[in-house]
Amino acid sequence: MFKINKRTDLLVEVSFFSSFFRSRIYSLFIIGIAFSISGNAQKIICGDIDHNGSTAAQRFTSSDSSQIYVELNNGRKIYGKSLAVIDQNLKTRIKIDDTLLNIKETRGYYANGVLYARIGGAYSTYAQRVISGKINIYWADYSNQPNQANARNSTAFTYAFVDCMYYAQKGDSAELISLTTFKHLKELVKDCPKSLSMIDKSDKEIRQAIKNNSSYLKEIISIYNSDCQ
Amino acid sequence: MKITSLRDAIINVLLPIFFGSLIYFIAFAVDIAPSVKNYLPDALWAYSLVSAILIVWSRKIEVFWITCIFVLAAFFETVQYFNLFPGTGDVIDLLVYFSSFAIGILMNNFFRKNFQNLKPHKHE
Repeated sequence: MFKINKRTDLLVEVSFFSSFFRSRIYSLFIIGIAFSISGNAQKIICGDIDHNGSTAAQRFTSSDSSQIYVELNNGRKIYGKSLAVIDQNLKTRIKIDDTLLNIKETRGYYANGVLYARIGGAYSTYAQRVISGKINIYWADYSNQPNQANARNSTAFTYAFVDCMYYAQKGDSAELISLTTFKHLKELVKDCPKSLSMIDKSDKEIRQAIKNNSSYLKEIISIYNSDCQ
Repeated sequence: MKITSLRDAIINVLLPIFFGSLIYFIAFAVDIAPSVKNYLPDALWAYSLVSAILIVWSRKIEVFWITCIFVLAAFFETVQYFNLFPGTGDVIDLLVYFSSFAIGILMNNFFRKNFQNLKPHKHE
């Protein structure tokens, strides 16, 4: 049996307390770092930029065929008196008079004063132009509507998750790029000091500004589009 | 730190943070689905957080610390919602965090067995 002297006692105590605290200190440190970086997502959420209407499947008619056209990928325009965007079996098609086209064959369409551009990739749909100028802003909604039947009382109920996205286009023939954060918007307007001063703020200040003025982000873009006046 | 824990930390903490950051920073230029763009970085952040906590505790589920991160996630989303803290309060973000925490906890046994070379706890 060995003697436990005072020095060993002290080492055992120090070792015990350091292992007792080590994991807790590490945990506190990890949580502190994690939550301090998590709050910096300055997202532009649905509704931050004013928009009206819907980009869901729509139909348009006009007696004046110059008011409705579809623009193909090669730039050619097909005019007509009726246009319908059809979502069928997860495929989107567009029908102008009797011509049926796949969405991927088109660049966009124009109907009764409003321009719609195709958003590419796997999520082909049309986005509606809501702001025109040096920077065009488009808006598209993505609605997911799962259905669920309640077997007990045969009642089917639906719930919808609606997400919407904004897209920016610098120049009428440029690619549409998604606009998801205030940082993206700041990047777009950086060569206009007046617009930049409105967006170059903390997330809290911008959110408060939007709360006080629902057209705040729209004004930033409008100032840019008006030659920074 | 043991090599096994280091590999565990690289796979379950550093890589998710890296990919989440990558998605966040390239979202501007690349066509990615809105749900992915908005929520996958958050999901990866939450998964890496719960994994970090589990690894610190040698993959033993410490109820107190796991509960802390659930409670803090709810608290921070609430204060962001009321503009008391930088960020955008979003209930879907909260669902994403909780789901990712749950996935991390459910995967705990697997990683514990493969990286810590310890038997799974009976109560798991």
